[in-house]
Amino acid sequence: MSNNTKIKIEHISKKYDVENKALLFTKGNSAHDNFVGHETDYVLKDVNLEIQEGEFHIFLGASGCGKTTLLNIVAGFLNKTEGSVKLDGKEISGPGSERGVVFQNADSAIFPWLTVQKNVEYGLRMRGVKKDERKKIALDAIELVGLKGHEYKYSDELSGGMKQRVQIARSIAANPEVLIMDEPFGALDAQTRRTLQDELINIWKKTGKTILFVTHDIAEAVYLGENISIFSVAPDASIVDKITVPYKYPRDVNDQRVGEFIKYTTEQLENAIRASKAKHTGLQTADNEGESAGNELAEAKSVAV
Amino acid sequence: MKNITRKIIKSGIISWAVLFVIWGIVSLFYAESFFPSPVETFVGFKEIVLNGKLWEDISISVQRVLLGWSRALLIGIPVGLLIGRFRIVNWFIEPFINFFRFVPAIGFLTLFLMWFGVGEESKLILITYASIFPIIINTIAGVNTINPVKYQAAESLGANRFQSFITVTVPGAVPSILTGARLGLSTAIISIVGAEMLAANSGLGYLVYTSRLYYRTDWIFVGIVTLGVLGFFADKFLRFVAKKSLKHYGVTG
Repeated sequence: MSNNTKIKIEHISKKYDVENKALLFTKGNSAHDNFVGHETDYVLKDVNLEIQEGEFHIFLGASGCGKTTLLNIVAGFLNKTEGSVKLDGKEISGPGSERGVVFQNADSAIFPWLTVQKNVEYGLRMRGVKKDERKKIALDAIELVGLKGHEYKYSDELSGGMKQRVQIARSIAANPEVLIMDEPFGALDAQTRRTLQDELINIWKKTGKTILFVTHDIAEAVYLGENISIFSVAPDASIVDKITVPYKYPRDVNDQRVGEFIKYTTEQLENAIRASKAKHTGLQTADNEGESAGNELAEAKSVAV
Repeated sequence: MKNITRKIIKSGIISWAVLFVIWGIVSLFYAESFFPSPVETFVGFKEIVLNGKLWEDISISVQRVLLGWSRALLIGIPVGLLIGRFRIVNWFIEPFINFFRFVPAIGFLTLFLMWFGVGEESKLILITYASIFPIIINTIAGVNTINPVKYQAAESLGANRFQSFITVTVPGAVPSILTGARLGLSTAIISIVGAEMLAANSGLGYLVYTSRLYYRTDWIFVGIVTLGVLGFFADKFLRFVAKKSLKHYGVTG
């Protein structure tokens, strides 16, 4: 993996517009303008980050911390309020095929009227790639994610895990520079999740793609990521800590050192949440702060332990 | 045994049987020319079946309905898709739609006759007018139900706005378009009577309207029943075909 900066995030802040100003598209119909908030606070405040080419980077934070907001800005679905996001030195404005996205909810992301293979071919078809070549690339991607033999199935014949595989294959086939993944395994059962995590690591090693992976699951973050960005809580959320996971793949979650590291990461996240809570509530006592931070973490911890 | 009973009740046979009995009982109290019984209606039915009149009327009316409805689909679906997807089209066209859809087709009958003559054209325009609104409105609703994530997926796979319109908006709206087509077909059948009442010398509407002049109330009944039966089977057929061919678009029947 070379040392080129792939994604550069500088001084990013995000405030939701009170009014949706998009002119051309009916509300909620565009990939670009369907996020309408009424917050006047900053969700994200002054976020800075560099992601290297080929890196497996994790955004870790409690629910509602703004990590998905940042991901949506990088994907181009959301406009930033301040700052800049560059991919290979070029400012990002709107979605683009150099940033493949794997969505949290496969059911809403997959085209149910297309077969698995046609879904995977979609990006290539939009680009005008010829049929034979399209098919070849799609079949390779389908094999890569382990869906061989399911090419002609429709999404209503697939399990949750298989649907996520379709999404991954669809993104890989379009050959993006960066693969952006928004809690893609969150809705899967533990067994399937573990299998897909392992397969994702293999796919990453094989393709050498830069991966940006959002999760609130600490164990998942430590299991998958090379580097972990830890988010504080909104309003004014930002990346308050960056952790490098020092273990080689494949990692063993039952390994005591990895367990210790998960504990360490949990503490870092807890500290981040506690610190931002303290900042927001100002005068509250230390006890109360600890409690609310604990609540925020409950969800993340339950998976981690 | 239980299953068979359920099937019979579900099929609606019992409801129809009850209706026929009531019809028969009520007709006992009136003269044939005022309220013919089921049997008298059947005799009238046999008469115009045998002399070919009914087939002629059915075929001309079906032709008009299908032509007018097809035109409504050809115009209504694209218009609905564009209104649903593009805000600017919505701003320009929606006010008209919400005005004219409350003006019944019959209200335009005399104007259409004046403008388009007494030939086929005015009848077709009337049917098209009547059936286009449910098609447009349901198509718009269908576009609005599409999950925005689908557009995000399409655009991050490299689709431009035109491509995402063709590959996401159009297939995504299919189930509602079908609902609109079904409602449009029923309004087309409903409006055929109005269209054929004044300016026709054939068709089921003509049959219903002119039979009164000959005191052939039984033929009026035949006409009414035929319209209902035609609509019933046309809708069944449409649903069947759609369910078979559009399953993956989310059409459940």
